[in-house]
Amino acid sequence: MSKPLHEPTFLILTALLDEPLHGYALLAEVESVSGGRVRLRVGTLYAALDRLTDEGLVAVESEEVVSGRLRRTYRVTAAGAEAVAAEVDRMAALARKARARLRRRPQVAARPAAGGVR
Amino acid sequence: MSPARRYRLLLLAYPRSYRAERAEEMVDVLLATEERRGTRSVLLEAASLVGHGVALRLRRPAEGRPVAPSLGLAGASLAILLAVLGAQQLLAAAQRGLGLDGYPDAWRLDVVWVDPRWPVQLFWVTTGLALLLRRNRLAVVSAWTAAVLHVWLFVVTAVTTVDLPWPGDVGPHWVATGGTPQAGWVLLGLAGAVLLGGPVRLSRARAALTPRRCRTAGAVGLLGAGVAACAGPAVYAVLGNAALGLSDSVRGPGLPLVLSATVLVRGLLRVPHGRGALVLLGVLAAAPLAARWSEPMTAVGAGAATFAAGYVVASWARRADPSAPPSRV
Repeated sequence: MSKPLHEPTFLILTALLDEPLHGYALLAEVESVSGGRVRLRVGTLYAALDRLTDEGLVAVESEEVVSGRLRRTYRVTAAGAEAVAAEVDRMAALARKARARLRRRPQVAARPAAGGVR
Repeated sequence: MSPARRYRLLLLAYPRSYRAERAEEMVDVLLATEERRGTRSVLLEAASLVGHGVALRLRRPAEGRPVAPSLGLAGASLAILLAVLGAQQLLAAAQRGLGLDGYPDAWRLDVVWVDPRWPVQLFWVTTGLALLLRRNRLAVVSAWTAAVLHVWLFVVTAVTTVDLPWPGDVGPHWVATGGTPQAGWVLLGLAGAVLLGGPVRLSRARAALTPRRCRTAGAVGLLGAGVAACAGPAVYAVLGNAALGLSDSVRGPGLPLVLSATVLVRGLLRVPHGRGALVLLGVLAAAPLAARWSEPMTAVGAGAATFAAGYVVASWARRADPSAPPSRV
C-alpha cells in the first residue's frame, strides 16, 4: 500500500492531470483546484517538483526561453497519475466509512444549507 | 534594487548547482506572482525561499569551493583533542565536587559546582563520541554548538569584566572564568568547528583518519585523564603545599592532551594530506600557548590571522590543482 500523498503534492499532481503546465500556471491551477484555499509559495512548489521529479511522478515536458528566461513545462507521468488514482480511492474509502458512521449517529442534526445560518 | 535582483539575492540560500539549473525559472515565476502578493506575503515568500534553500543545502552533498582534505583532517583531529580536553575537565570537576581531589576539606569552600563551561565541554565530548560512532552530522552540529556557546561565554566574560550593562551581568561572577587565555581556547573551538565544516568534508577526513585511529586517540586521552586525576592528589599527598603548583599541573589537561596528540600526529604522518593538517594544527596550537607567555590578545589575534590565511591558501591551492580528485565543501 502506497503512502498517502500530502495535500500540496496531491494538488500539484491533480493540477497537472489535464495538461502540462509551467511554474506560474501550475501555482494558479493549484489555487483553482483547491477552490482558492491553498496558495503555494514558489519555494514550496519547486521543492515539491524536485521531489516528485526524483520519484518519477512528474517530468519536464519542454523547455523554452521566454523574455530571456528559461521556462520549463511539467507533466504528470503514468506513475504520477496512478499515485493520484490511489490517493483518490483511499480518500473515497475513508469518506464512505465516515459517512456510514455519521448515519449511525441519531443525534447528528441535518446540515444547514450553505449560508442558511446566521 | 530591482525585484529580479532582490529575488536572485534570496536564491543565494540555494546551492550553487541548483541555482545554475533553476534560478532563472524561479525568478520568472516569482516576478509573475509578485503582483498578487501583499507585503506580508512577500516577506513570507522570502522566508520560504531561504528556508527551502538552506534545507536543500543541508540535505544535498555539500558543494562549492574546493578545499584541501588537510582542512578536514585537521578539523577531525582538533575535535578529538577538544573532546579529550572536555572529558578531562568534566572528570576533574566531578572529582573536585565529590571531594576526591586530595586537597584539604577546608578548600572545598571554594569549590565551584556550576561551571559555565560544562555545556561547552559536554558538546565537545558529544562531538568526539559522534566521530567514533560515524555520526557525521551530529558531530558537526555538536561542534558548532560548542563553539558558539564558547564564543558567547567569552563575550559575556569580556563584557562583564569591564562592567558594561549586559544581560550576562545578572549572572554570578563565576561567569568571569575566562580572560585572555580563554580566548585561545575559544579560537581553537571555533577553528575546530570551521575545519569540520559539514558532514561531507568530515566524511572525507574520516576516510583518511580511520575510526580505529580516532578510537585509539580518544582512549589514550581518557587514560591520560584518569592517570592525571590519580597522580595529582598523589603528588599533593606526598609533597604537600610546597608542591601545590606541581600537583595542579599534573592533574591538568597536559598529560591527556599530549598522549592523544601523539597518537594523532603519528596517524597524520601516515595519511595523505596529513602533513598539511599538522601545519594547520601547529599554527592553531601556537595561539593559546603564545597567549600564555606574551601579550595575550596580540598572540591570539596573530594566530587567528595566520590560521585564516592558511585556510584560504589551502583552499586556493586545492583549486589550482587540477589533478586532484573532486572534493567539495
